[in-house]
Parts: sequence; structure tokens; C-alpha cells
Amino acid sequence: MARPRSLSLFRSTRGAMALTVSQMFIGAVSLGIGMFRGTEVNAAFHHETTRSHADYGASKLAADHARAANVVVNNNVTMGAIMGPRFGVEADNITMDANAAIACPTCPNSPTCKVCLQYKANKPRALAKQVWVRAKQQLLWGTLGKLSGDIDKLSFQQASGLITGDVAKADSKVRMRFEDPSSSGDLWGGGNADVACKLAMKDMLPSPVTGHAFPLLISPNLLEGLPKTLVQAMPQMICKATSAASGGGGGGGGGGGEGPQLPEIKAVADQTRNDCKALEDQMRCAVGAASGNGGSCGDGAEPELADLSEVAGKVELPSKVQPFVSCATGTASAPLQISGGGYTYRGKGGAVVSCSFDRGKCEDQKLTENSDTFMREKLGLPKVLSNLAQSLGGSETRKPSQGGSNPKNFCTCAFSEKPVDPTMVGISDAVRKIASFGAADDSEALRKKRDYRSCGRWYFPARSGEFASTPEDEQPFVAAWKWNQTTKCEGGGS
Amino acid sequence: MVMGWFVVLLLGEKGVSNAADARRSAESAAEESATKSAANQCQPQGASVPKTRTSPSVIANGKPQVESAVALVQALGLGQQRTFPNYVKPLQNVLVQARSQADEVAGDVNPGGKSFEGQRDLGCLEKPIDAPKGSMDEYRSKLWEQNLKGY
Repeated sequence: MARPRSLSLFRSTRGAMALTVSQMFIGAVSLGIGMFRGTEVNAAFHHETTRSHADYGASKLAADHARAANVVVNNNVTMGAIMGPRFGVEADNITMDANAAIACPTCPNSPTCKVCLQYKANKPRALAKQVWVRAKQQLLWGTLGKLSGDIDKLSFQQASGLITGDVAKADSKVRMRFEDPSSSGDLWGGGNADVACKLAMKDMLPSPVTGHAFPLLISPNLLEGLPKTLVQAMPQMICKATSAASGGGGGGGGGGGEGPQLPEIKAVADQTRNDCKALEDQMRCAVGAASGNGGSCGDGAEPELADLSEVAGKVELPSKVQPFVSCATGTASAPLQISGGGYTYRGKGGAVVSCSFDRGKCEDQKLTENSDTFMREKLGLPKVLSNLAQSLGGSETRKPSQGGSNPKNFCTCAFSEKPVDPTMVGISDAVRKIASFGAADDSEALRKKRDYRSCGRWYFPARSGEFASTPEDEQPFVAAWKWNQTTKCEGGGS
Repeated sequence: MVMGWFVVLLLGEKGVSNAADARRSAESAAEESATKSAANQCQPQGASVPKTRTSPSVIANGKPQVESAVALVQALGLGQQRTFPNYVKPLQNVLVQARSQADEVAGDVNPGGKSFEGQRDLGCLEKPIDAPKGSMDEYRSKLWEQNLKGY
């Protein structure tokens, strides 16, 4: 049975229509999938490349800060390097002056007088060196110390400008911002002039700088060994360093104190003797007062030992005297050895306790003090000022203000941000709408403002490699600061 | 015919995939080369990503602003010491441009021959130029010889 033609035609037309519609549908779907896929790929690369700008920023900032740290080290090293020769020249000048103080009073008849003549002839040359080295030391410490304090700010300003410019050249739509610790405080603090001075002293001692003036300017040196002793004591005398003098020595055979001793200088020796005599007299007065015989206690009488066993009152020793009074209990096996004046009493159990003035201890300490005073007042050693930095030239050598080899604030962060291309966002929105038959909202993910962060920290490799043996306080004098990249700075850079 | 659309769909997808792969290769190669070069004190290093070409270039990117230090230190006759270059060496970046070409795909949507580029820029690590005990003696001895020795 033949089919009606119209029906055949109708089926044919509808079939072609159906085919066309389905082809269009599949075409639209495949186009949509392709476009959606394209927007996804584009967004992924957008995020990745934007993030790479933050990486560049952080790496550049951290690298420049690490270099700044090595510049600070160089400043510290140079400051320490000039302090050593200053110690040497100061020590030589003091020793020359001390030689003159001994030799000149013997002129014109003594053979020692030739030292005085040499002194008068050559002192101006030594003085010129002293003036030069003091001026240079103070200029270097002032200028380089200040630079060390400013260098991280300078580095940040320079680096951030370059980074912003470089990124703008690569992609003008990227916005950069930075969180850098130099903008909120000083990364390098002072307070390690003592370490600089100790290192300078250690460097100087075995060098030919120490005692260079002898026999060049004066021969013989009447105080052999004094230049070395003075160099050892310089960190303490000039930089207020503690425990700088590793062993006293002593120019003329002195020693025991924490500074050089000049017993050969008559004025110093006399002053020391008088000081201790006065203290001993004060003790005698106190003992006399306690025993009720306070009459003639300061008349320079010979030391005597008072028995205060029967006296109810307590001996009131002046505070200046107390450090030099030592008490001991005598026993049958160890009888008391008493050299100076003092007093005795019976302690608990009836044992005899003897307290005496320790003249040896007093003279040792006073000799050191008087030698120091003599050097500062008569021989030109700089006076110790309350402001150490000021006395050294206006600034000091630097160390990390938070201390240690890996301070928390030695870390910086860079952030990059760029909106996703609006065409991409539009395509993505359209495809989402079509695929969801109009139900989907606009993409929030593509519109979200993303700030990409990358950070860098710089540090001294304290526990690794060849620098593992560097003491922590010497790290700011070793140019080995390096950096690495990190995702976050501890305690900041969120 | 319907199957034909599926073929077009698959080829299109393959084209997008190849293009994305090529771009991914370029990005990965740039990343790898830049990281390796920066970590190697700015010695240019290639990447081990197939079918990519990297061209790392080292760029001098500023110098530390330490003119006052350089002037003062040089005025004392210093400048040859081991760590002195810390004052004057240019700061360096490595900039890597990586290129990759997508594979051919039959049909109209053919990314074959199209070049994709990735770019990475990083600051470089520097090799420490000091020794564990520091270089104070080098500065001191030169300073002494030059300015103070001999009275």
C-alpha cells in the first residue's frame, strides 16, 4: 500500500527539522562547553601569573634586604677595622706620655733623660696620628652607623619602586602592595659596640700595630708591655665593654685589676698609697668610736688591733671601707694572720674573730682606678661619657634589634591583585545561564577580588655549613646573610 | 550527521586541551627555570619540560643606595677587600621567558603551530662572600698600611 505523498513529504520535512534542531543543539552545547572550558583555563592561568608577580616582589624585596644585611655587616666590619688602629695609636700615645712622666723629672743628668728628649722630639708625630685616627673613627662610626640604621628603609623604597615598575611593564592591570617591616620600625639596633671593640682588640693584639711607636719613636720603652695591656683594656675604657681585658698584665709589672696599672708613675703610686692610708684611717676611727677611744684616729699612727670583745656597740664601717675589710675566725689549727690594723671580738662559741684592713686588695684596686684616672686626665684618654654612641661618633655598630640570627621581623611580603578579564567573566556567566536554563547566578568566584601573597625572609645561616661555628654575637660582623621565600611571615603579613 | 557533531566536539575539545597543555608547559618551564636560576646565584638554568624553549636572562636591577659608605671607605684606601663588593655589586633578577607550541589537531579548530608564552621574574640568591671569622683583619691591615704605619 502506497503511502500518501503528503505524509511522506511531511515526515521528510519533520525529520530534516528534527535533525537540524538536534544539530544546532549539539553545536550549541559543544560551543558552550568549549567556551566554558576556555574561561576555566583562562582563569587558572590568570591566577597563576598574577601570583607570579607577588613571588617576584617578595623575592626581590627579600634579596635586597639580605644584601642590606650584608652592607650593615660591612659597615660594622669597617667600623671595627678602624677601631683597632685607634686602640693601637691611643695605647702608644699613652705609653709615650707615661714614659715622659717617668723620664722627664730625671733630666738633665740621668741617662733616662734621653727618653724624655725622644718624647719631646717625636710626640707631635704621634699626636698627629692620634688626631687623625680619632677623627676618622668618629666620622666612620657616625656615618656608617647611621647608614646601617637607614639601609633597610632605603632598600625597601628602592625595591618596591622597581618591582612596581617591572610588573606594570609586564601587565599594567596588576596592582602591587607590600608589607615590609622597615616601614614600622628599626630592624637593626645598636648596642653591640662592645663586640666590635672586642673583635678589634683581638685582631689588634697579634698585629704589628700594637706598640708600633716603640722603638720607632722612643727607645727603650720604660713601660715594656704597657701598649699591649692598654690595647687589651681599650674595649673597656673606650667602648664600655665588659670583661674585655682578658688578664690584666700591667705595663710596669702591675696586674690583677680589670685595667692597666701604672705603679711606675710616681703620682699614681703616691695617690694609691694615700687613698688606702685614708681608708685604713677611717677604719681605725670607726673601731676607735666603737671602743670608746675615738680620740686620735687619723693621725697616721701605726696600725693596731683593738679587742672589742667587751664592747656592746657595733663597729660602723664606712661603705668605702667595707670592701677592704676581711674577717676570719681563728682556730687552733689555723691561727690568724693579721697584717694591718683592725679589731677582734669573740664570736659564737667563744672563737676569736678578727677583722682587718686588707691593704693589698686596696692598693690593687686603687692602683687600677688611679691609673685609669691618670690616663684620662693627664694622658689624653677620652673621658667616658654617659652616651656611648655619642662618644664614639654619633652611632654604633648594629645588630638585629630583635636579636638572634633569624629574627621574626626579618621577613617581608608582597601582594598582587588583578581582576579577571570582563569578557571571560561574561562568557562564563552566559554559559552557566544557558546550561542551567537560566537558574544559575553570575559567577562569584571570577569576580572575587584575590590578593596573592608571597613572602621572603632573610637570616644568618647560624646552624649550617661553614658558618655553623660563628658565635651569635659575631654574626653581625660576618657577611653571609641570605634569604629564602616563604608563604607567610610569622606574626604578620596576613 | 549527529555523529559528525560529536567528532567536531571531540576535536574541539582536543584542540582546547592541546592549547592548554602548551600554555601549561610554557608556564611550568618558566617557573622551573626561574626558580633554579635564582637559587643558583643567577646562573641561567633551563627547565626539564618537554617541547618548551626557555630563555633565562639575568637583569641588573638596581644597586644598594650606599654612596656615603663607598665614598668614606674608599677615601681610606679600601676597596679591594673580600666583602667590599657588597657595597657595589648590582642587585640581580632572573627573567625567564618560556615558549611552547601546541600539537596539531585535525579540523578547523587547530591550535597547531600556535606559540604560547610563560614568563617568570625572581630575585636571585647571592653567594656569601665572607668567611666564618669575618674580614675585619683585611680592612684593618690595609687601613693601617695606607694611613697610619710608620708615623
